[in-house]
Order: sequence, then C-alpha cells, then structure tokens
Amino acid sequence: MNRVNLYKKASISFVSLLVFGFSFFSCGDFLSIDEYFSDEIKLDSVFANTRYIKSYMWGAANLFPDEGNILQNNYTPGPLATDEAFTSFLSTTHSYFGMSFVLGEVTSSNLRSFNTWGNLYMIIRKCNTIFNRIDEAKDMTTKERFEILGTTRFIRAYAYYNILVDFGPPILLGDEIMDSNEQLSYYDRPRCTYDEAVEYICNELEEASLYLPLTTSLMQFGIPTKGAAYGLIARIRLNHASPLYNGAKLPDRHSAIGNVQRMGPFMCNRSMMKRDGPRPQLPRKE
Amino acid sequence: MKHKIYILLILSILFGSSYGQSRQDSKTFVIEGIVYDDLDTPLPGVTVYIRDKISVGTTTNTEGEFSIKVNRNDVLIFSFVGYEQVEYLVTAEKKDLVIKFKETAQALDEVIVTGLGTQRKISSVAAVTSIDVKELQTPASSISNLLGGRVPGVISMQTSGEPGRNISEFWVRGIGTFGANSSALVLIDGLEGDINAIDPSDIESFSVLKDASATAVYGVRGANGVVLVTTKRGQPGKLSVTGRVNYQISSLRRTPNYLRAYDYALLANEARAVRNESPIYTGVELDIIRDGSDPDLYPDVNWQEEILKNTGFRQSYYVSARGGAQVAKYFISLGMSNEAAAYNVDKNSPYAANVGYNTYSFRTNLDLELSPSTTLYFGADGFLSQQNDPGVASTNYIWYAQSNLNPLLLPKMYSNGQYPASGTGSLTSPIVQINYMGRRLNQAFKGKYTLSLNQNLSMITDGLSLRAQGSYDINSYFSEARLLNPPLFQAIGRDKDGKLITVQRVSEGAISYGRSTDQYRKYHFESTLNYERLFSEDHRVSGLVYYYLSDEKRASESTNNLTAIPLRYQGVSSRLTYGFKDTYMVDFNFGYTGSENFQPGRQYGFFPSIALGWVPSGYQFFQRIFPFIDFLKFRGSYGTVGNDRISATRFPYLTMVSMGNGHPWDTSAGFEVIGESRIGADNLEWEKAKKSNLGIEARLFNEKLSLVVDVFNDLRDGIFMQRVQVPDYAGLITKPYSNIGEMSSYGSDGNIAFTHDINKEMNFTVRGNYTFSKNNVKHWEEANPRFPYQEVSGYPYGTIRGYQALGLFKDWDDVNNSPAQFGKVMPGDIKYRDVNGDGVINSNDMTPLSYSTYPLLMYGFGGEFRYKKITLGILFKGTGKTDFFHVGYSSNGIGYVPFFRGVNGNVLTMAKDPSNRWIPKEYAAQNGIDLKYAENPNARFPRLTYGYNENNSQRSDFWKGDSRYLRLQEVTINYNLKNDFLRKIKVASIDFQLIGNNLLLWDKVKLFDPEQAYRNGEVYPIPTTYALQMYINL
Repeated sequence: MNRVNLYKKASISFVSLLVFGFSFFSCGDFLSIDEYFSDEIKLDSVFANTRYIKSYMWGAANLFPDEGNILQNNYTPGPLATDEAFTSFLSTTHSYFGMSFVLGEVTSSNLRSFNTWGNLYMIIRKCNTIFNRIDEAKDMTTKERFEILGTTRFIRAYAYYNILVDFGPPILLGDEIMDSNEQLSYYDRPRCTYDEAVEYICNELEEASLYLPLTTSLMQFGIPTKGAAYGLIARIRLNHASPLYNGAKLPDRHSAIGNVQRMGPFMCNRSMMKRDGPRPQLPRKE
Repeated sequence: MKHKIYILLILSILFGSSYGQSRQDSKTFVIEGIVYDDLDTPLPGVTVYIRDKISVGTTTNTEGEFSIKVNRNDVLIFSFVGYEQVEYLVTAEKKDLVIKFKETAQALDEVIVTGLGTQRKISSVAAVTSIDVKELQTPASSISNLLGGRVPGVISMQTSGEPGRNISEFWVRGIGTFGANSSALVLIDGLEGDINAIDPSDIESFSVLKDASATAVYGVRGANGVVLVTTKRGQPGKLSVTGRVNYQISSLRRTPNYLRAYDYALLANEARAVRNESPIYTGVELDIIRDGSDPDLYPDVNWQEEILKNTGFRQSYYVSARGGAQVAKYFISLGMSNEAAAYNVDKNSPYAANVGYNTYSFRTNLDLELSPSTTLYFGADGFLSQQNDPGVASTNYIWYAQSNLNPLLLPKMYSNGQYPASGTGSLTSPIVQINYMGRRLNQAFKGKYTLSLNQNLSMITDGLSLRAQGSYDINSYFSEARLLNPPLFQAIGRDKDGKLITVQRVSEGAISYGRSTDQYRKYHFESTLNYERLFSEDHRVSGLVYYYLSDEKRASESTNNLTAIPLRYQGVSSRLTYGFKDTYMVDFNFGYTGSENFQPGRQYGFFPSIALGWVPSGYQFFQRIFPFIDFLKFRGSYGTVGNDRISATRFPYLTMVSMGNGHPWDTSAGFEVIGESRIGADNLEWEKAKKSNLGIEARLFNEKLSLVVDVFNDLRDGIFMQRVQVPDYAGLITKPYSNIGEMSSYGSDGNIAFTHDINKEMNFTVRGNYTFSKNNVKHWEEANPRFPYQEVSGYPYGTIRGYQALGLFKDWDDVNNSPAQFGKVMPGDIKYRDVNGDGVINSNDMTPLSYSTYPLLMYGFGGEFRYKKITLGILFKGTGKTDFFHVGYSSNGIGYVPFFRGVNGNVLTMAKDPSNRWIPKEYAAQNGIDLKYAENPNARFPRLTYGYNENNSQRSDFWKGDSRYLRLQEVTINYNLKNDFLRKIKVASIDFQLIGNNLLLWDKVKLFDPEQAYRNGEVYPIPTTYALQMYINL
C-alpha cells in the first residue's frame, strides 16, 4: 500500500509539473519581442507626430554633401577639374579629387568622392515617404503642413538638381516609393531627357517657393528660402539655354578682350522666359 | 508559488523512498554457489547483487562461482547480458546454491542511438553512423580530432597543433550552405553541448545522424547533421571504479628550415642586384656576418631553436565510479589534464611559471527510481579550462615571430645587457615577449545542470511513456592580462673605441592591467511522448512527439536594446514508424519550428520527411538463393529541413530608426534628425533544404563482412542574402535580406569492415571508410559581372579565383610583346594569361582556379589484430586532392617567397639551391653560379625581389599546390592484464596502452604540414605524439 501511495503521489506531481511547465511559457507568445521592441522608435511612430516628421525631413536634408567642399573631398569635379589647374600635393593622397578627374584617376571601380548617386536617391526616397505619409500626423496645423511640404519639395528638387549636374538626366520617380524586395524587372526604369528633367525640377521649385519663408534667422542661415528657390530656377534655365543642350556643333569662342564669335547656328528655342504671364517677382527687402 | 510546492513534494518522495531502505536486519550470513547458463556450463562474469543495497555486489569467477554476504530477506539478483534475470530471496545460509539461466526469448536486439532514444539497428531507415566507443579512447586533446578518417560522413580539418588551440573543425557531409551556420549540432545526453569539453571515457555511445529522416526530429537545429553522444549511467550491482592515467610526449615535425645569416645576406643582395638596386650588405659586412665577429650589430639568431620547444608533454588523469541499486544508480567522473607550453621560457623570469593549458572536469549522472514506473534523472557536468600565457598577444604571435624575424634583425640580447628592438618597433623579439612582458590568463567554465522525469504510462496503454526535462547551462569567461614594457634599445653603431652605441626605442612602461569577461546562459525545456509496441510479432509500431523551447543570452552580444533580447526557439516535432516483419519499414517525421527571425505570423515552418526501408534478406527464398548474404537492407529518405540563421543580424524584418542631431546646410543651430538605420524585409521565409539519401547496408559471409554505402543530395533553397542587385536609385538605406540564394551539395559516404577469427586466440578486423562531398552555388545574388566566369553562381561555394600563369617571362622580347601587367615587369617574373583578350591584365582576367581549401574527399582505413590479451590497432587517414595557395589567399607569401615583405620574413633553405629560383645570366656569371642553373624556366620562385613585388604577388596558379595527404594517424598496442594477484588487491584488470599519433606522413607539400600548408609555416604544426595510457578497472 506504501507503494501505491507513492505511485499516486509521483504521478500526480509529475503531471502537474508538466502542466505547470507548459503554462509557464505560453507557447504562442514565446517568440514575440513586442515587450522589448515597443520601447524603440518605430517608423510608424515617426509619422504620427509632427515634430518627428520635421526631424525626418531634416534628416533627409542632413544627407546632402557639404557644398563647402570644393577643393577636397568634393562631390562634383569643381574648380580644379581643368587643364589650367595644378596642385602641390598628390591628388589621390590629399583628396584633390577634382584634379583626379582630369588626371584620369577616377575609374568605374573607384569613384573617389563623386559617388553621390545612391545618396541623393536616398534623400529623394525620404522626401517621397514624407509626401505619402504626411497625413498620418493628427496634431499638424495647416501652417506647419505647408511649411513641411514646401521644404520637402525643395529638398527633393535640389537632390534631382545635383543628379542632373553631375550625372545627367536622372530617373524620375515622381512620388513613388519603390518596393525593396522585388524582381529585377520591376527596377528597369529609363532615364528622362534633359528637357523633362529641367521642367520637372523647375516646376517643383516653383511650387516649393510658394511656401518657403522669405528669410531665415541668422542662426539658421543656409536653410532654403524663396529666393533660393528662384535663384536655382534661374541657374537651371540658364544652363539649359546653353548651346551644349541646343544642338550646336561648336561652342562659342570668347577672346580675351570679350569678343564673342559665334561658331555656327544654335537654336535658341529655350529661354528663361518660356512661360507667358508675369514673371515671378521677388519682393523687395524692407 | 505553485512550482515550489511540487518540487518539495518530489524531494519528499525521494527522501521517503530512501528511508524505506535503511531498515536492516541484524542477521548476516554468506551465500555461495555456482551459476550455469542454459547449456549447463558455468558462466563467468555474471553480476550478482542485492536489490535494494547500493553498490553491494560481486561477479562470478572463471568457474562461475560466487560468494556474497547477505542479510535475511534480501533479494539477490543475478544478471547477464542475453539471459533473463534471476531473483532469489534469501531465507537461510546456503553454500551450494545453483542458479540456471534461460536465454531471453527475444533475440538480442542491437540498438543504435538515434534522435530521442534508441532504435533497433535492424529496422532503422535513417543514415546513422555509430562508433564503437572503444575507438574513441585514444588520447587526443579533443574528440573532434578523432572524427576525420574514422567516422564516415565527417570531413575535418585541423588548423593548428598548438596546445589549447589544437581542435579540429568538422562538418557532417561537407558544407552545404553559404548561410551563417554550417556546423553540425552536437548533443550530449540530448542537450546541446560542446564536444571539446567531454572526456572520451565518459562516453557510452556516439552516433552521427546524417540524413533528413534521422535529423528531422531536431527540426531547424539538425539541418547540418547531428552528433549524438550519450554518457555512462550508473548500473545496479557492485561498485565499479575506473582510473585512467595518461602521459603523452609530442614532438614537432615539419617545422620549416630557414637560412642562417650569411646565406640570407647573400640572397638579400641578389634580390636587390637583379632589380638594379644597390646591395644591402657591403663586402665588409658580409665578411663580418660570415665570421660572426660582431654579434651585436650582425647577429645570427635561429629563432626557432631559441623559442620553440621541440618536445611537449601532456598528462591527464581520470577516475570514474559507477554503481547503485535498483532504486538509485549513479555515475561520477572527475578528470584533469595539463599540457605544457609549446615554447621555451626563461626559468628565471617571474612570468614563466605555470605557462600551459590545464583543464578540470567533472560529470555526474544520477538515476533515481521514484516508483516502478517513474524515474528521475539528475545530471551535472562542468568543464574548467585555464590557459596561462606569457605576456603579449597570443602564442600565435610568438609563432608568427619565428617565421618573420630574419637571423640578422635582432640579437637575443646585446652584449651590454640591454634588450633589442628593431627600428620601428613593429617586430619585437619573441624572447622579450615571452619572458619580460608580463602574463595573461584565460579562463573558461562551462557548466550544465539538468533534471528529467520519466514516466512509464503503460497503465494507459502498453508501450507509452512520457519524459520532461529541463536544463540550465552557464558558461563564464574571464581573461586578464598584466602587461608591462621593458625598455628596448637599438644598436646603431660603435664609437671610436668599439663600444656599442644604443638608442632607446621603447621606454619602460609601468605595469598595466586589463580584463575582459563574458557570460552565456541558456534555459532549455523539452518533453517527449513516446509509444512503442509490437503487435502480434509482425507489426512494429512506434510514435514520438517532441516539444522543446530554449532561451539563451550572451553578455558580450547585449549591446543595445534589441541585441540584448535573448535568443529563443520553440518547436514541435513528431516521428511515426511502422515496420512489418522487420522487412518493410516506413518512417514519417515532421518538424514544426519557430524562430524569432521572422515576422509574427510567419515564424513557424513545417518540415516533413519520409523514409522507406526494405530488407530483402528477410525472405525465405532470398536466404536460399544467396546464403552468403546474412543481411541486406535498402533504404531511402527524402525530407525538408529548415534553417533561419543569418550572420549576426537578428530580426531582419524590423525597420530600425535612429535619432540624433544634425546641421543640414551647415546651419549653426542644430536640428533634431531622425532616419532609418536599417530597412526591414517584410517577406522573409525559412531557408529550406531538401535532402535525399539512398543507402545500402549489407552483412555477408556469416557476419564477417559488413558494409554501408550512402549517396546523398542536398538542395538548399531560399538562402538569406542581401539584395545587392536592387539598384541604388531605389534609395534604400541598407539593402534588405531576401530568400534568393540557392545551393546544392551532393556526395557519398560509406564504410566497410571485415572480421575474421583465425582461431580462438587470434582474430583481426580490417575496416575502411570514406566521405565525399561537393557543392555548387546555383544562385548567388550579385550585381551582374562583365564576364561569365566572374559569376559566383554556377561554381562551387568558396571557389578561389585568380590569374592563370603561363610561366616566367623568358627575355625582354617576351616582356615587350605581352599585355601590360602589374608595374614594371622583367624577365623572370610571372607571366599571366589575358583571358578576355583586352590587352591588359587586370581583375577582369581572374578565373576560377580551384575549390575552396577544405577537402572534398576524406578517407580512412585500418584495422585491429588481437592475439590472446594483446590488441594492435592501426588507422590511416587521408584526403583527396585539395588545393591551396602559397601566395594571395589568406596568407601572404611571408615565409615562402624570399623577401616577400622585405626585411620581414625568413627565407627557406631551399631558396639557396639555385635551381629553385630564376637567376639572370649576367648575375650568375658575375657571382660564380653555374650557368646551367641560370634562367631556369621551371624555377619555383621567379626573379627575386627585395620587398613587395606587385606582379609576382597576385593570386595565380603559379603558386598553387596540392595539400592532399595520407597520415599514419594512429598505432595502438593494448595489453589487458588480469591475474589472481591483481584480484587479491581488488583490481579487476589493468589495460596498458601505447599509442602513437601522426607517425608517418605522405604528401606533396614536404615543407610544411599539409593541413596548414596555406599558412606557409606561420602556424604551429601538428606534432607527432607518443603516449602511454593505463586503465585501472576496480
């Protein structure tokens, strides 16, 4: 009888231990990490909040290369990329990459500091993300919304501008955010023409200029303003009018005393003043 | 609270049952008798024990006689393998007890250990290799070194012979995936463990599970094969104690031979002269070097002799005890080993004490019977390793130093007592590093504690049982270094009196202390429901359901909120088998495992597998037609296994966002910036491997010849890779991972053994095994390369690419008419082939040259010969063709190519032979070298260069070698001593063993050990060892 009692106790305790063991870790949630991950900032919570959307926008702008790097670690060939320039120090070891450009040291396997293509498209993707998700923030005032839209549009247009200057006509994505995990055929997009690029960028800049501030404070000098947008439009259109894009066979020759010798016909069918209607007026400074 | 009550309940049951046995009768007397088997012959070696008394028992002697002290009412149990147990209740003293055994009704079923239990060997349809544990009893620093060449299905490589690091890597059936994890799962008593921490004398059985059907119950963990080790358990009967003592001497072979100072200087001058540079050593200096008249400024040190100990010594001790009674059985073992350091230490140095590698281990297995149908198992084991190193870096550096310091660079010590430093301080004297720079200690402890409850549920239905087990692993690591810098000087010349002028290069540094620690812990719980039954003698059915969950965490990986999350797995798997008359068998398995690497909702994967077996030798007509075939089985299996491990990236489906401060457009005021730091991939799935296997097992000629051959194929799909083909203009911060890689591997393994009894006292066994495996990458995500031979897809994994060499340039015409190569090229430099015909030799001309450096084919053969009490065993181990590169792959040519890095690097003595290098005719004529050796187009080395020569340092098949080898891996002589004198001192027997390892080597490399050939002598070679081992069985 001793044995039977023992037996009963053993089996009861054993079964209960098992049951307890199973219940201790509830099977379904064992692998979930929500309790840890909920403390992290998630991409969804970024767009639920106006402050974070602004930070995300500045995060996009923060990715632009430093415009002050014109001689060393420059993102565009710049003033040293000419036969008339020389440097005292080796271009490769001292990062005079404009010099490297004319010396043939920039190759497809080593782009030195000029490889900004991917970076600029990251900026464009972030801007598109803002456009697609700006409505998720419920605490946004109308004024803030337009400010964010204006600045974001400028950022995106500026990114396309940089691609246009350094790489030629870009692949225009519009407002699309590309999927990250698709078949190769999905990613087969053509590049636009120079004309299309100019039109797109200038249109974007004009729309942005409606909401950009007139001036910024001294501490925030460098943030885009209306004037910046218009100035950029002007520069783009001027470059567009250049004979390089107008079908000329030979470039103009300029003599040292200023005589200009036109060397062949070019169609001046593009100009800064393509549109009818009043020219946009910059308000005068008070 | 609840679980505390139940634990208390269990403990009280334990105590209760043990109290029940402590009542003793005071009357003791002696029972004697003889035990006979069913043919009426006396049976020696029968275990006789008292049922409820722990460790009280004896065995019958050679006449079958026994004598044991008992109390009234004790129950004597007589047991012997193959016979039914006999019980005898003691009522009175008896001196002529006769016990007769009856053979057990069922024939002895040989069992093999497979996933979660044992299966009868005859009806197993899975590819499982079992190793006789006796073969693993030879001394080796770790069991992983014993597997290659002995276990069919295992390919192994030992990359260093250094004490503390001489552990082989091994793979089951080669490498089948390019994902992160390609190594096999090692289970010790069913729980994951470290194969290097287990003492071979603790092992009861050892099996390797190779195909999908065998590994399916382990789900994702078993994707790369499973190694199952079970340790010894207690057994009822008298206490049996085993002690083992082992002394081993190891002696280095294949250490490279380097030139001494004068020859080195001559060659250095040649290397400069043939490149039109000025010589390094003037004529006067050469005379000084030859005479050795200024050992301070022109030393001639053979660093290998100075720092390397050619013989090493290792000792180990082990003792184990097993015994018990029906109610409680135990097994306890303790072990320790000590291996002396591999290099010479200055006895006077305070830091030199105790250098070496020590290990201490213990293991205990307790089985308690709580009731006739319930047993409780408690196991604990611990392994502590301590490595004491002298001062700086690892002994890897010390070995590296002896291959890098040329004889002229540094003396051992200047004549004024100062210690030397070379100019830049990058190469320090290893004598200083070993003896005067302090000491380090690396300590690691691995402990595991487990409790398991087994309940036999035959009261519900016959053959049903339930098991629940929990375990806790704790590993802790501690390393500390106490370092100091002695002042080091460089001699720069002599003053007018001839006294040495030295400049201090390294100033004395105060002692510094640094430490690092790490900790790893794991909780594991599993339970199994098992059902086994034989219906009406013909239908054998078994079923198994297995559930596990585990949670592990490592302190050093917990660096941020997400990496600190413990690693968790959970899974259910099941196996159903059916066998009819042991002739037709079918197994069906499935696994359902969950992993944290996938989004909720996709975390679980289902992996089924099926196996079929057919034993034609069971038919009557078969036995009539082929009487010489005792057993023949055909089996095949097909199944899927999942894998989820990506390198270092956890939770790849999460998009991570980080916050910071930025200055867009360089504003003075900063802005808060937020951005994604990682883009998650949201359609990830399990990597699936489809494994198929076909096998034949046969035993012929009266069980004399046995063979097993398996052919396997593994197709792995959906391997995680980063989507590098996604173009940049998608603007992704990081490229996501996706399931797009595909790889296949295939091969075969098998073994064959032949046993023959010459007469009653002599027999021998001859055996052999092989493993062959090859793989092929079917899809590897990469940006489209320019030429098809540059693709990774379509070639084996790890294919090594390089230039095709056409030989050496003959003369200046040859150089001028060939495409441009690397830098300025002269006759005698290596000429490469312009594969794509573009007139330039550059990286676009690199084509696949060879497979990766681990072997594709591994084989072993050997045998045993037994005469009376002496056994002689031999084992050979070898690999098939395995390529390696002296230059350009992992190593960099130092120690092989003369002056590869200028002043760094020793020069092999074979460079002195002029036929081994390309010498221009003019130089040969000027320096008295026989012109027939000049401009040798088949020279081993091209024209010498002092320093790095870009052209000759490219990876090409000029530097390719074959590291295949055949080793006489082991010779064992075993003598078993048993006599009456020993029995008088209570020793049952003593085994003496003499073991030699790595005694002979046949290979093509000759200069270095072939398993490390690609390191050009920069690694500690694998030594030859001689050991004396003694087992004392009480």
